[in-house]
Amino acid sequence: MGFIPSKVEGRIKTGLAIAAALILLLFATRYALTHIPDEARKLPYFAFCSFSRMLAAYILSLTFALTYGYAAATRKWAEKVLLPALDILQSVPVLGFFPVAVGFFILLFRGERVGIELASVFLIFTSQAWNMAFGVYESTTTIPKDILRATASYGTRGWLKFKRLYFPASLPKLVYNSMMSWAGGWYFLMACEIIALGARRFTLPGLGSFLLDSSDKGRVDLIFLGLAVLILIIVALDALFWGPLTSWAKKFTYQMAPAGQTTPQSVWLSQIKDMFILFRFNRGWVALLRLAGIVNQPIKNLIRRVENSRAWPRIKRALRGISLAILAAGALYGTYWALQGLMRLFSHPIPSEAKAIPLSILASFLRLAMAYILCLAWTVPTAVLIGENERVSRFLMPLIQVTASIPATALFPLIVVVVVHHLWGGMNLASILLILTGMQWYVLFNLIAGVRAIPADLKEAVRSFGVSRWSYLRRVLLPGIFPSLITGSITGWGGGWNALIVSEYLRFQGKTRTAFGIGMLLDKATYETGNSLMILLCLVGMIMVIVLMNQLLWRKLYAKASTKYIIEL
Amino acid sequence: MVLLEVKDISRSFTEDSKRITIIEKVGFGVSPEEFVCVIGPSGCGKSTLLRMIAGLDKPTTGEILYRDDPIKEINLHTAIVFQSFALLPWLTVMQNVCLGLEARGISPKERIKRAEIYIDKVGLEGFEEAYPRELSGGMKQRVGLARALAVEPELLLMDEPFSALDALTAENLREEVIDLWQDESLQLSAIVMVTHSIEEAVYLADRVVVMSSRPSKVISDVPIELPRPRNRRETAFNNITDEIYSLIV
Repeated sequence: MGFIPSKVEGRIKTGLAIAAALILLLFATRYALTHIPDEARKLPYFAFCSFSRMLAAYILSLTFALTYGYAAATRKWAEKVLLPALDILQSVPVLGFFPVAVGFFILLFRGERVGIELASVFLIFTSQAWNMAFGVYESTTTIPKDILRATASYGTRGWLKFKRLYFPASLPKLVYNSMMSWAGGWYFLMACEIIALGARRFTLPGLGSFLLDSSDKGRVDLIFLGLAVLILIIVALDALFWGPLTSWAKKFTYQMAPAGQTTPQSVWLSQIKDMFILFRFNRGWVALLRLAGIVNQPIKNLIRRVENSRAWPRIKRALRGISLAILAAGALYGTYWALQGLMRLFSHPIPSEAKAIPLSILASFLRLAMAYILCLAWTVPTAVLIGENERVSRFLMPLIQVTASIPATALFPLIVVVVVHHLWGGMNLASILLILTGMQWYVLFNLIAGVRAIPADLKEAVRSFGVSRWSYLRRVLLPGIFPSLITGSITGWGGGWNALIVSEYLRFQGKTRTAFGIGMLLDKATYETGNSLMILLCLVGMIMVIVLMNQLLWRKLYAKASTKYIIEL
Repeated sequence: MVLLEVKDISRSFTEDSKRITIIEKVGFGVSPEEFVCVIGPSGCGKSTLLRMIAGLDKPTTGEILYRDDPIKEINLHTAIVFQSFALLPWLTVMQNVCLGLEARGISPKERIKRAEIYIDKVGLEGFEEAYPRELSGGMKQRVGLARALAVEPELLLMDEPFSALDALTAENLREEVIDLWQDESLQLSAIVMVTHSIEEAVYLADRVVVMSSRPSKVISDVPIELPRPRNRRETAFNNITDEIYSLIV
């Protein structure tokens, strides 16, 4: 089609593709209407429920991240308290929050639906919020000094400073971490929709509970259907929301992108986006913002009038006093509630299973280490290949991104069936594989970014000496990606510990399969005995190991990476 | 009458439980309509001095008087121009220039009107909606200059403003800064500029304050009485440059 301009040709191709997709969808719907099992008819409703919960938890996380991260970054005393607290909170697995969810929200509303919903939203929040807060903290503390001075020298303070400086400076990391958090939320959705503490069991309608229920019944067809709906939502969100948002967030970075280097994108995908989504999307947002502006102006005027009035200093003091009082009351009540709970816990005898905790942590640690080795074995070569080779990247990246977005927990029952029935290794191997899924993407994406960040000048300078491929790898590439390897490993191990909790215990076809480890102990304590003291002991043991590992191993490696192996421009 | 009086200030801080003094008993004054350059080896605390004049930092001992009042908080009679430009990358040229005006609670309409004036003054008309990343280094520093001038400061503080620019661009901007300083329609009265180029200091300033290396003191306060526009090839110019060289080396 040489005589047709390539742009038009692209449009035609895209149009054909969309037509084909529509026809396919039509047939699929017809097929679905006649063949879908009765149990799956409620899937759209379940999807809606789960999505609403995720959204509520995300809004909560966003608010939390902005206030917490901002406070930790701008106040010296807060930094000393808030950062270590965040470190610990981040390493508490979602099951660790079950007693809080059950004991607080569900009790508060006496087992009513509202309470269970709130508990579920709270649990999803705990798998979303921490990394976002870290993101805000990091971007706020890394604002270039001169920019801070410039804004301060013009007397910029308070809300204006937040709006013009802190918030925009946080945006790139906030958007990136939001995507991570959504992925994390989907990953633990199954755990967050069936809240159990021993005999007390609260189930909410949703995709997660549907998947878990299907697994319990051993219905592979239903698992696949639920998974398909889940992936559909994830892909749609990515195309409609995160994609445009990510490219918009690039505006808020400090450095200019090196000339000629654009992020590779699938041509087809970007054309589809061009034709449909971005266009409408941007218009929609602009209209929405205009509307917000209309409402905004009177509010602004009102605020200004109040601020200029003579009573303002007094009002301000009163407001500050009231908010402090509310905070203090909340903190006091929280402490009282927690202390009371702890007292009640320790009035029970220490359970006999607790003796197994040290050994179980060791067993789990070995599984994590195995998963880590497997992870490195495939991610390092892949990252080098993708980062160095533009053509491979264009082909592999979209594939990897879609695969990475599938929450592997939903696949877990299938992994177990395949591994236990058709392979050797049983539950042990299945567990390691699931840990791998919680670990590998962090490592891979960090490594790819690392390979890409090595300056082209440096690569060319070394190549111009005619060095062999092997010494190029050893002298340039591997040292060059070391810092990203460490960052990826830290987050990867974090993800691994979290995945561990759901990987050593599975109910399938009414039977429970386990692999001995701290995750199994914690799951048993949560789902079977409901012994809160045992849960607490497991958590304490696990968190101690995680924090120790962070302090003794990762911090040191990170310090080394950021002094010796950093490439400065 | 003095506009600014730096009175025997010292600045020290503690690092790794060691007490480091970077400025020791520094004093000088700046009169209205005066262009003062502060010069000294790198790391001698020139930028710290500038920050203290802007009220961003406080001297450990001594005080700085602005129109006879000690500077206690951000000094809103001053504005700073930075070597790194310090523009907010997510704001357009217009929004960057408006930043200081917004902080002072000036209405949106008035803000834009005023920003326009100064964007024109630095020769950036037509670039109001551009983002910093789309501009060259010289243009970025023009935005920095417009942003500083927009708040209509009496005293302009410049921290090595031409160091990150290529020689030709720097030369043009120097001329323009002199023009702006001499512009009677502006409120701008005096300029304090930090630099490490002796030639630049002699070319621009009415007075050059020469500082020693850490802990820095004022070694000399050299008045430059050459008529403007100055010529770098003149013997008188070279004699003063040589004199300052001999003070530092």
